Amino acid sequence: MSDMPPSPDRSEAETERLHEDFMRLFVKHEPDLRTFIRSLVPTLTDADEVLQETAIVLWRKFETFEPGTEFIRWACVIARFEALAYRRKIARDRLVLGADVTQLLADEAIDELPERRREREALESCLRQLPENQQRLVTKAYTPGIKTKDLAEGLGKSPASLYMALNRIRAALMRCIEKRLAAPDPPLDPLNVV
Amino acid sequence: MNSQHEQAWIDAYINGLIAPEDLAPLENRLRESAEFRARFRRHLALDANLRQTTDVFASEATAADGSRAKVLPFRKGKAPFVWGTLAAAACLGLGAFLVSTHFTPSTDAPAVATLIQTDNCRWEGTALPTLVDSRLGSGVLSLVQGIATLQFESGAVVTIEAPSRLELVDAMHCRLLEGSAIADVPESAHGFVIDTQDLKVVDLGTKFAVTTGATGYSQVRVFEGEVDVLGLPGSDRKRLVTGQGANVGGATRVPDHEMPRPRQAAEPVQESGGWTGIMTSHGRGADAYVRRGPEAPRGTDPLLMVKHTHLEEGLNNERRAILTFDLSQRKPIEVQEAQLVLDIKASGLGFSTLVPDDSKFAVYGLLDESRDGWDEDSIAWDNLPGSTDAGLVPEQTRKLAEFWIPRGGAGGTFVIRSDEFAPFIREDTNGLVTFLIVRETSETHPSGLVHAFASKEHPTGRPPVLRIR
Repeated sequence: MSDMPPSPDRSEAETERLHEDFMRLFVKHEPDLRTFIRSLVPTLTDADEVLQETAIVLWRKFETFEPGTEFIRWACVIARFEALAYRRKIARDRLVLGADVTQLLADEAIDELPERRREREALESCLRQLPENQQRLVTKAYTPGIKTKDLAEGLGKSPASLYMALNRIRAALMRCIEKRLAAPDPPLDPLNVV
Repeated sequence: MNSQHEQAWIDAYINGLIAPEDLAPLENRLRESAEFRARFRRHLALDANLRQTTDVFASEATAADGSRAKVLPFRKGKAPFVWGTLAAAACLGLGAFLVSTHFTPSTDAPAVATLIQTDNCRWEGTALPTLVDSRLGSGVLSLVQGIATLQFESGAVVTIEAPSRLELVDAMHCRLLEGSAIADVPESAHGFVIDTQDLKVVDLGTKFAVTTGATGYSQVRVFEGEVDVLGLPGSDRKRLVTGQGANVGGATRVPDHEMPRPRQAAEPVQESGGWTGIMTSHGRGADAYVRRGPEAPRGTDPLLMVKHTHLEEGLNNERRAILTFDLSQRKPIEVQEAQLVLDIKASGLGFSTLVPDDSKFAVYGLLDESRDGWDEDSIAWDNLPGSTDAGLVPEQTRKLAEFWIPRGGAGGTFVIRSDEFAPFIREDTNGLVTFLIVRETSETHPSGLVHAFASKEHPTGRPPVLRIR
């Protein structure tokens, strides 16, 4: 892998500018891209891997991106391809959803990105409403590099009970998000008192 | 098949634990129902969004394998291209999220500094990019949690600790609006300036720290080298050398726009889930802090400051806070559950690098009800209810809760939960309940951080709230 898209004609300054443009777009759309990819692979760790691969490919192909068109749509096309390739690779020894189902999920996921964005915003407030111990637990569990098994061991719990706890927390968060998004006027943060 | 069954599949799939026999039914359901596919994606998206948003306590769960940031196999220019987003620090995840909502491209503006390191950071409403390696133009960075390091184009390296707001002016100048900053200035950047609303510190080749509270107080301390300080009372310019420090300001310097606003009626607030929030500003409620020694009463300060030290030089900096809530319109006997909500603020005093990574605090309930009616205008170290110089009196107080604030803060509002709160409140007979807050963690240097919470007089913060149900 070369440091940057191969192009002998481009000056260093141009490459740098291109890189900055890319960074700006990638950083801006990364959360969307992550949720998109997550809908196509079995676990969050898989999504992280595909996201990283996708980032590399996007940068390599960035010259083919047409400014003025939607970066996220372009990125999702590439991410979809990467996710499907990844699925093929892991399908040999892991349980994965069929390629047809994955494609179906991908086709519809692109149009849901605005919804994902609203959910993400609501999630922030909802996390704050969780009891402190649950906040801590979910934060630890979602820290990159943390394995649920190790976390369970550290907490003196069985992995199964930790998964159950996380399921319950996610269910509570989902209820909160749905409630927030359903309300015509978002409810005031209950702590926002004078 | 029912909805519960479907949810069990989704949960198992998210956890990577889908049973082989469940896979085909799950696939079939996904094929046949667009509605189920949408639900499936919504749940998976929550899983992905959690990775990006859960950084509240991430410092305690730092990835053991060092995967805080991955370096991609390509570099640009001279600096390694650290790709924070990818399977990396939760800090960066949220940074990226904020960028996506607040980022405004500023290719025309010259870069003033580069964000070179972040630790457990959470940013608020900033218009500047908050990803590691971001080049920042002029503007304000608002760090609500964590520790971040910037390298100015001049070479000066500035580390800010939450809660802090730092305005980047140019490569040789920044303004600390609130919080604390430590500057390490190489020769190339001599003359680098950090100013606050009270002070201007001009570097002469040093490592120094500046701290300022949003409501006054600024402090400068030189760890190594020399600085000139402008704005100190009684002198135009004062030179400080290694080990020296200076303080100025106080509540009198509250800028006009931050003058305490008239509080709205501080009636208890009905909240969702059956909670009622009662502020110290309600009824006969009160809040204050005291400092060891013959200090003036601090009942009307905008901040409640708390500090503990075992170091002799710092003994007079010991501070304790007291909060009283008026429950006379409630029925304390019926309280089943209670929480104490505090809004963490920058005190402008001391540096968190000089206290251990996590500071432990304790909340005590005052048992002697005859002292619930203490007066904000006369409260002082010597007459703080339930306590003596040596500490809280066990017969007059009961420890109800302990809590920790990580270095770099905990990001604004802090909810303290304890099963001991409700029984304590139920014992109330006079409609007032009083809590004392002390820090149990000491410091390694007398200039260690003074922790602070918004009091009911704070212009922008939330006053202490007792939530009951």
